[in-house]
Amino acid sequence: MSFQGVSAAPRAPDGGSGTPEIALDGFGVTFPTFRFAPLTLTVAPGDRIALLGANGAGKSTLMRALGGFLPQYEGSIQVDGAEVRDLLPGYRRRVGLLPEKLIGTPSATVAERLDFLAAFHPSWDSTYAAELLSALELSASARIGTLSKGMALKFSFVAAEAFRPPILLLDEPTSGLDPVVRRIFLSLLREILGRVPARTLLFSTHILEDVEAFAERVWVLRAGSMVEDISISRLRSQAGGGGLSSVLCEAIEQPPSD
Amino acid sequence: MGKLSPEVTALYRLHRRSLREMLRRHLLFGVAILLGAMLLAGRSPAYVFPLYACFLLLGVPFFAVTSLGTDRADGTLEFLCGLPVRGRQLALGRLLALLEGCALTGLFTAAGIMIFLANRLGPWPVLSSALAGFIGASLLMLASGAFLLWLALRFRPETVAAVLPLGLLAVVFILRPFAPSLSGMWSGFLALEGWLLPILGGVAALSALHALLSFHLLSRAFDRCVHDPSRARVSSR
Repeated sequence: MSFQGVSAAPRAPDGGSGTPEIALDGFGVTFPTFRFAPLTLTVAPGDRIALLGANGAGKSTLMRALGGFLPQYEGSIQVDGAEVRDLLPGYRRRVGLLPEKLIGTPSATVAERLDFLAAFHPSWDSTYAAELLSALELSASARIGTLSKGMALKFSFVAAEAFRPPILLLDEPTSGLDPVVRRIFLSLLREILGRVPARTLLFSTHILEDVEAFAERVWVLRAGSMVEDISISRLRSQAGGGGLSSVLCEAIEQPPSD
Repeated sequence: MGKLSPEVTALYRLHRRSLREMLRRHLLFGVAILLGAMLLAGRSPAYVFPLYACFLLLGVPFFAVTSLGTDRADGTLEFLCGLPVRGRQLALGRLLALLEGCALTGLFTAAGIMIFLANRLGPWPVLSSALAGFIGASLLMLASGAFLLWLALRFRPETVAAVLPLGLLAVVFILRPFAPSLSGMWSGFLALEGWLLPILGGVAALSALHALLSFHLLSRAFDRCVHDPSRARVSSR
């Protein structure tokens, strides 16, 4: 599939320049029934990170935190040296988040919702959005409230990508897609990322093939703790001649080393 | 919408769509019911103007609350609070959408004033009173709408929608023994004549202050939701 429409470097209309560095220092969250243990790490511009873990491991929490959607946390989340909560709401112009669930404006059509979103992102490219819709075979006249899980995912991806944010956060982007659309989606994502290498990608998934296809680094979460932060090249050397899947499954299942 | 930011314009258009639909239904059924009642009672259809203005005085602020409740229930409020948007812009978009309802209330109030004062006062006092009535009623609606929106955002919209009419009924019930008869009120109203304009002007000024204060409160409440969109969920209350 040939896909046209990805231009050069992403713009940062809120005054930020290019893709920022994100640094977590002792980041942690405590909910009544869940605790995310303190975490310190850095996401460099251009990092391609896969987030793995069982359901409820804290993947979406971490993703929401990195996207500036979690106001109360311990420690700090710094974007180019500034605390993320102090950068709101402008920071959201630098982040394209594909959420776990599509919410809001159920009676609006896909086209209406995209038009609406365009008003909030100065770098929104309507032509690009139309091309993405067409590439993903999503009807612009479909109503948001009637979209199936797969269609909602496709729409969320278009909404997250149409303003070419420097940071893409994709929460299980391929989980509801049929094999054909999944292949189209992955090919599209590969093309988009290939043209602008400086963009940061963080995606959560349960599909280990996606990890092999896109990630350069893997974070493994278990019950609110990060148990592994490892590069794909290191994983490959651990796997030897075998596939990564068995090594990854082992990393997800094994207890923390400490 | 020349001077509005694209964000506020988009929000205004989104909210106007749902509020206009509510207003259209209210106007259609409200006027038809009142007109039928006036005809059945053998009264002049002109009574419809002031009576429908009274309907709107209660209805318009509740449209705002109902719309916010719907938005919270279907996730629209959380979606909006997750956008790169400031609380002030969210508040402004909602209040601008409410303006049509406010203006309609003002128009019916002005028409009611003109009809009932036409034979009693000269053209200038009638026109100026109607204009003051229009501005006063419109601003009163805007202020009530903004205040109720703040209450609905701070608390549950359904609680506000249920408690407020009960509160109003309670006030009416308590004040009933002290209130003059309708005819007494009407003659008292006509006796005001020279005072009518300053009174309506005073209502407008106080409403404008109230609207500004409510707008400030509403903006701050929306700002909290922008920093934590999960506050906009039904389940978070």
